[in-house]
Amino acid sequence: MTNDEKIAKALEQALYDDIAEYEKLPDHKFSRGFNRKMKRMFQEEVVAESHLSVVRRRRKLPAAVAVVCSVVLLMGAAATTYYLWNNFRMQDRGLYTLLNITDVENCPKTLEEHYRLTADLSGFTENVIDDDELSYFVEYENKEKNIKISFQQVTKHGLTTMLNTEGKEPPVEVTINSCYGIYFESKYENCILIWDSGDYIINLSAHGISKNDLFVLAEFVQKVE
Amino acid sequence: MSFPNKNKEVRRVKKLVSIAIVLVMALSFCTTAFAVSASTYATGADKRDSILSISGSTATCKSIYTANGDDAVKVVITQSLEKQGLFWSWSKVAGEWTKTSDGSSMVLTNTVSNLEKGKYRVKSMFTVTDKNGKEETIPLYSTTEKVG
Repeated sequence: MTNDEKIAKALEQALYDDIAEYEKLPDHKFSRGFNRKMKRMFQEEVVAESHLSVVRRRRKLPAAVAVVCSVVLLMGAAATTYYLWNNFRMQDRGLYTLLNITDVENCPKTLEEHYRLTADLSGFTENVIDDDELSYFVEYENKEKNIKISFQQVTKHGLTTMLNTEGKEPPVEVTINSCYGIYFESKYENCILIWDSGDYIINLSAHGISKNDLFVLAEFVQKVE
Repeated sequence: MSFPNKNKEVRRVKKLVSIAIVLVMALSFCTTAFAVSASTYATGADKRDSILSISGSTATCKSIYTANGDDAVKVVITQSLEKQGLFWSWSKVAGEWTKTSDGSSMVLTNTVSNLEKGKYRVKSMFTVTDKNGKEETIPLYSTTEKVG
């Protein structure tokens, strides 16, 4: 018999002796009080565990709600494309584009300086539509040549503009008279220029002339006394 | 074994989940509703503007319709001044004022004085009727300006 076999036999015998000792023990009945205490102890442990798991779930819930809400809002935002060009913030909403001016802090709230279209427009009838401290709006029309020109000067504060870009390319960035601006062609094939003169927003649009002619016309927009 | 505390906690969690689902559904509807309004863009104008200018406690409201198309035969501008309330809600405090044209360019200007402290905006509704009699109304809000 090897040493390992002797050790195994001895351990086996020790196990059988332990079992024989256990079987010699008298039958014992636990008291009702002891059973009640044990039952209560086990119950409290299970409730504590379940309470802890509920607390953990409750802590995760606001985070889950925030994630889901963010995803939904992002999906809505993704449906709108945003452009930012200098002070022009544009939202392309498919059928139209919304334009806001971002930096109006040091700009006057009224028209303290006046811009006018100083080009020679003989043969055109002039129609002043608005002329007050917030805006100047004039239209020139030559019915014979089927040309119509609109010129506007407005203050920057509180301004939101909706541009008819339906089915057309979005507005592009341009520089007019050393000022930042945008150019686009509307659904009606009209050419429209909008630029930031520094303190005011200038709009020049035309029907019946080319884009190049409109840019040439824009050079005749001057500050007047 | 019954665990009354556990049942109460589970019911509370279920309530919170229900509220969260309702909130998410409400946000989804807002996105959809916006998409519906965008598809009804009207004809007749190259450009529309909504402007609000505040000086002291006086507001000047301006709505500009720049026509450059032949589609519109009638344009109505309806203008009102709104004030921001609780939870970003808006309520009308002045207006509505209206002006009508035969489709040509027009400007509507109104002044409101003695305004209370708060945030305001101008709501400009442009109702355009085309040659076929089809009518479309588009709202345009100015940016928000503060009094006080």
